[in-house]
Amino acid sequence: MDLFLQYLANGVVVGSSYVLVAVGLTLIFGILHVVNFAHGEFYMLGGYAGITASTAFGLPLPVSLAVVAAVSCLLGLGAEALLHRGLKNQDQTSSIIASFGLAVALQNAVMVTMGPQPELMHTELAYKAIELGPVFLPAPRALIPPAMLIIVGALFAALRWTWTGRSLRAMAQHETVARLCGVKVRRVAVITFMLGATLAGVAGFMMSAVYMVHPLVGNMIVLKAFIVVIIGGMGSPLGAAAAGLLLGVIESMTSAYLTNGLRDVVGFLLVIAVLLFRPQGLFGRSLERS
Amino acid sequence: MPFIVGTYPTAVVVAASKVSREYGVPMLSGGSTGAAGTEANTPGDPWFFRCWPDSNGQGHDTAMAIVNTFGAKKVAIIHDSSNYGTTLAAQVTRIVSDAGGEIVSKDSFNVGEADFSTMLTRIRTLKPDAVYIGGWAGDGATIVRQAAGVGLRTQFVGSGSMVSDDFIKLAGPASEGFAVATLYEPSTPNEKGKAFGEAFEAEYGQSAGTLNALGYDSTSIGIEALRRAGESDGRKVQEVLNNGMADFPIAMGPAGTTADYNEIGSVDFKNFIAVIKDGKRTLSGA
Repeated sequence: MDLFLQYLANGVVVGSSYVLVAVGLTLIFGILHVVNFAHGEFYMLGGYAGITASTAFGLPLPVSLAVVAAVSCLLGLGAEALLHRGLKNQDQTSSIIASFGLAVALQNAVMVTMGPQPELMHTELAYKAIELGPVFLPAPRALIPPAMLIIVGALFAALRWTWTGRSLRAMAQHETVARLCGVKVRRVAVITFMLGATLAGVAGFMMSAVYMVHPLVGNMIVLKAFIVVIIGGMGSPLGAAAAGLLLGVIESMTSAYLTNGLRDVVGFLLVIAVLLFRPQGLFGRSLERS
Repeated sequence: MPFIVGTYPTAVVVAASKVSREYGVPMLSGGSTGAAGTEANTPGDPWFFRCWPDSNGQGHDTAMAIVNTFGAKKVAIIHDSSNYGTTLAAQVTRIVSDAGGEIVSKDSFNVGEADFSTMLTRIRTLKPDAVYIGGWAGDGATIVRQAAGVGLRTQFVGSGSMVSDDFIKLAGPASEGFAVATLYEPSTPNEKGKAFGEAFEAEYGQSAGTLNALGYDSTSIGIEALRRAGESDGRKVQEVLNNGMADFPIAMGPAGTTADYNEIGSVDFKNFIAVIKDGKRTLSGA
């Protein structure tokens, strides 16, 4: 039982990082209908920005977090201009392929400037740990689930109760009607991309104290985020939050009770099953539009 | 051109050594360690020369160290799913089992996988005497760090790729006690190696690594063979390399190692087992 709880805690930590990346991805899809394969690079660049700010320049962690947010917003701004503004009047495949191109370009830009070697953020936190009964977690890991809850909670509150949040949701429901009601579509698009990039960037920053960051680290995380988004239901942030935690726990249990070699496989099997039997996702509503 | 020092990837060696034979220019390995490099040679008439043992030898010496040097009875194996990791894991499994050890678990992972905490927690419950990691240095460093995080404290032994100083930097304090097979360390008991290490440090202000030592050995063997051949003819140099260098000491390997190539162009000696102490690789028993 004690071990089970430890495996569960490990799964929740990993799952929380999936949630942060996937919520942004599903927002961009749900609101703007852009399938963004460069989302993993938002995560990767968040990690590099944080390491550069905190380890290379020695800035305190809150300041580094602000740097990460600023870099992510700029990135979101650029990505929106390319993937949404530039291509929204074309077939959706154009923006999908352009997002692949953007991912490769960003990976190589980092490879050239930072080099291919893995980096890690060094903090004093790494030597502290938290014990909750039988569960033992190093501090940088233990911080991730509460941070995720705060960030995602704030996001949901903003989506629900602020004017900007309402216009985002209006856009997600119907672009033309939203525009007729006075929603500034362009502004919403930019905010959505900035928000998505910042969520992923902050996740990358927090995880850089736990996992190593290298130029190709976004490849796997974006696939995991897509698994989460599909399981949770495309465009459903709440679904992404639940499915992210679920995937983290399932992976951990697979590694614990089956074999570690299957760990990356289960998520994809789940996706195929969901697409076959419940294509709207576990938490998505099937859309019926006239 | 009397000889070439190169190259690094073994697949390139296999392709290039056929051409070097055809044109009569012997090659001295510039880092290629894969067994396929020397196995592609015609026995008795090699054109690719590697003055250190191949990767099988490295895996063998590592596995023997797990059983003998560290006295491990229960061994857990973690390896990446690449050809490199899988081959090493199979070899270590075989040798440890033959030597009477028990493999208590065997786990594979994808190269670049980020989270090992659950797998390591499970391995901790098996209480292995040693954990062998077969894979690239970055993944090895991640595993060692996360093992410290989940409280798995045992003897970690890594594959040859983890011999770099970068590994120690990435793994941090968790790398203490980690063991890895190595061809060369500046603290070597080999006199020629020691002299090389001191000269290197004086010249470049940093301590010499394995790649520096093997580059030095391959190059100095080539130059000496050229001098002994007496003329700038690749075919003559190859003859000298093949039969006339057994008295020439080299920097790598135990004291007294010489460029005594066997019939497929390899110099087989026992790898050192280095253990990381205070952030530096230290030769055990040296």
